[in-house]
Amino acid sequence: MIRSFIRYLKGYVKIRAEGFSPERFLNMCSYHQIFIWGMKPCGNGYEMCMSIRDFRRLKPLAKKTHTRIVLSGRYGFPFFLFRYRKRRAFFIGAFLCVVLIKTYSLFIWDIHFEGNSRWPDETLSEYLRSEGVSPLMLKSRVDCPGIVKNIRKEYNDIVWVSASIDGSRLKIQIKENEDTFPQENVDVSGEETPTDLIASSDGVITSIVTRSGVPQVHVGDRVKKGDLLVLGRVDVVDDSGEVTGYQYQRSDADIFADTTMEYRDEISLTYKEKVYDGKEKYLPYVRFRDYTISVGSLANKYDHSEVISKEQPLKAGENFYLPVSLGLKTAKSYAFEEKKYSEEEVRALLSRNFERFYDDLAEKGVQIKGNNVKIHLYADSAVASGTLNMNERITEEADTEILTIERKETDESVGTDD
Amino acid sequence: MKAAVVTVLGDFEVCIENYRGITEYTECLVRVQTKGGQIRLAGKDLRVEYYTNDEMKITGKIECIQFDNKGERP
Repeated sequence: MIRSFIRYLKGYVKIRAEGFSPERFLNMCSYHQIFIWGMKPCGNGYEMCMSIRDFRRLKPLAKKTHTRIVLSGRYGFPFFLFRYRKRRAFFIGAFLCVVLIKTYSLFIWDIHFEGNSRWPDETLSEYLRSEGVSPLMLKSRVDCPGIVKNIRKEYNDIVWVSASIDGSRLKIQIKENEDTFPQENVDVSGEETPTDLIASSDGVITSIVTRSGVPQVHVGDRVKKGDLLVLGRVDVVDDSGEVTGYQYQRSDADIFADTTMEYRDEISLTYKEKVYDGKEKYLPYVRFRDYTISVGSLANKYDHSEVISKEQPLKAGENFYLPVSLGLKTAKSYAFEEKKYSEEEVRALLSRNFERFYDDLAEKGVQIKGNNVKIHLYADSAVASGTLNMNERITEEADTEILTIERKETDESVGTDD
Repeated sequence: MKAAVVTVLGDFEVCIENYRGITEYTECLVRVQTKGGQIRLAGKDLRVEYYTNDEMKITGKIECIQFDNKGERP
């Protein structure tokens, strides 16, 4: 395969050797290191292939052996070029192709991110753009160590970055630190403003773990929504037991309580269903920035219709979006049809809704101890209702306004003491 | 040792090394001169794939390989 390709590239000829003793000619050829291939007998002589260079050395041998050499074919790239030497456009095109490939390869065409799960590609490429790194920039201007440094500086939770140029693509590999995320969340909201914790719903306290603040309730206490659970103000008392000042802090505690919740879900037995009658109108369009070119129109005489638009931005590579989008708007005609749920259907629907609600609660960390939700069927509706007994975290951060008032009071008390 | 090396692959390919030259070549018979004598290859559609000073390869349907060592004395 490779050998035949090289032969093609160098060019070869097919010749016919005829005469008194072509075998002698062959032996002379081999003696003079002339490489012959594809030989076959042909009439009085032989047909064979040899390279152009060897063909030029053939004349004395042919003379010596009294062989007649007939050139029967020219093959290969040099002959191809010679044959089409007058086609200037072709050569200009080939030259342009080489030049363009060389020119295009001087630019970055795509930015590829790897290993990022929390920071989406769009955010990162937006950030890089603001730093002046974007597709279509010169490859020589890309400063990989600089990019790495900038990303590390901008995103604290990215613990490792590597930027490398892979052809005309800038490859950025990222390792995110998953562990720091919750802590960071706390940091964001963790300005040192004193807060209380209050009950977010009615219930009976089942467990209290206080990390900071003064708990105001005990296990077994019945609390109402809005009741103070943990106070963010710690009294500072002197030796005689009198309060001399206050220390404020952000309350933090896990307080769980048994709560109940009313659940009710009503579904009408009759419903309207959209029935598409298959009539559709299409409007394909091409959008370039704010300009849109479309073909056809969506004007119709349907009673009810909906328009669905789908638009796909054209992109070269992975993250290099071109300013052109292709889209298709479809107007679909439909009619409403009155339908009625059967008993099984409505039961299944209500139980599915309830299961979803139940799963949502469970996902939030609410423990559900029991429920007495039942499904009641009426003439034109179905209702699932009942109460849920749950055990959940009921803390909620309190109003800061109350705290500022308390702060004033403390200032006054401190003032009078002085 | 200038003996000819004949490598046969199945019945479709023969490689001959250490030969002196071709004495006859048609589609059904190839005669190759070696130091000790002649090698006759009979068959159908015989083709010389390549032919150099030290090696040649013949392909086709080979039916018979015969060594003709008339000139050689034991």
